[in-house]
Amino acid sequence: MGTVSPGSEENNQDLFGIPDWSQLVLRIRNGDSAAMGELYHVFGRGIRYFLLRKLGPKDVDDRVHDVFLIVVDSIRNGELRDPERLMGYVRTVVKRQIAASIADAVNRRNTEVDYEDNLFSLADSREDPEREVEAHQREEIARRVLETVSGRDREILYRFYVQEQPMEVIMEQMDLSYNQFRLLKSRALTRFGKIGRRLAAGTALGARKYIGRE
Amino acid sequence: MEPSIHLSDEQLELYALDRLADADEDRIEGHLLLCDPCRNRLDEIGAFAFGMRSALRQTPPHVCDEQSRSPWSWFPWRSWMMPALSLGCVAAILLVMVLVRQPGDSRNLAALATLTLTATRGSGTAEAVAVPSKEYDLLLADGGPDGTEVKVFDAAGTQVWNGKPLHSAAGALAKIPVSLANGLYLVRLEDAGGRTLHEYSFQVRP
Repeated sequence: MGTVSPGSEENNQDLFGIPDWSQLVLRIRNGDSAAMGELYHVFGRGIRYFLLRKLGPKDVDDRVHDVFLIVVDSIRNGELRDPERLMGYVRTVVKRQIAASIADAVNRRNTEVDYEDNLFSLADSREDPEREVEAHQREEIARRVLETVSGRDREILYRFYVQEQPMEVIMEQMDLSYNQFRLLKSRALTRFGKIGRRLAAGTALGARKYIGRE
Repeated sequence: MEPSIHLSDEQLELYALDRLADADEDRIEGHLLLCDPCRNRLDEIGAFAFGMRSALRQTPPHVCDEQSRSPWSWFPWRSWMMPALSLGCVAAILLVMVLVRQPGDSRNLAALATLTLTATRGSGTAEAVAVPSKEYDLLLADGGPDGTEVKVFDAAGTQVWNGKPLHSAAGALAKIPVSLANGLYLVRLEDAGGRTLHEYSFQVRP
């Protein structure tokens, strides 16, 4: 699997090398419905992913639809003057939708708090329970991984993940090469994946036994 | 129609941890918009990074263990000295744990971040960026009349601070004496009756 540096301009073409944005934009401008299908095919899952990641699953289909309507309208109205900017424009629309939804959530929360204040009760401010369970699972797996690493390696990871020290600083202060640093993290990541899969398999087995399939 | 070249684990991890510069972040997001395999890897790497951060916060490295063993082992009175060292070690670990449990790990934060914000006027994009700090001075342009209140919300819509700003010709200055986790924040300026006058936004990132 090849990788690119985010800063290298020459890789831009490969990184985003979807041909003929201009053709696609032109066809949408001319009302070609197949082109709209292509646009959805290219961006649909990515848009859904970002919306899910930032806003959760609630109303995600409607939100994806809204983004597409905005993008298609802008193309048809000629607001997207440079077709090469299509991807950047889609990203901007997604970001705006996310920010607008957050502002909306803040508004709603304010209204709910006012209402509940009138009832002399407090709003439940706990996080989404599903996310909380996921976070606990992640932490538990990471704890198991950490049990297998030396004190020095643990300190390296602590500096990177908790103290948010840049990689270069850690390498210099802990007398590490780039490869040693990378290897430590990639081993830990591999262990994390293995333990996670094992736990997931165990949970699935337990669930199957519980419902009497095994 | 996926790109043939993919992002590295390092890039994905820094993106997940919100530790990339704006230009790099834009580029990475552009790629992620189109690339299924990189999105899947981002989920895995993000879970790993957040799990590590959380687990390490709960159990910071015990650096005392190794130091207290070898250099002192030849001392004949180590049998009575070791309990004292152990006690010192436990005290040091407890101190580290207390410090680590401070939100945002304040030992490594800048003392103060100062931001001048202009109202978003519906665009909703956060252009102002502050580094993680122990406190924040937000100068809100067009800060309204005396008696206004400033409220700061995180990306989940939870209010993280509220208070009265200081008014001057330059705007309303809100002094926020709390460290904020990395992420997007929305600032709302309300009049005395609780009506929204303006909204602002900013990001905290290293």
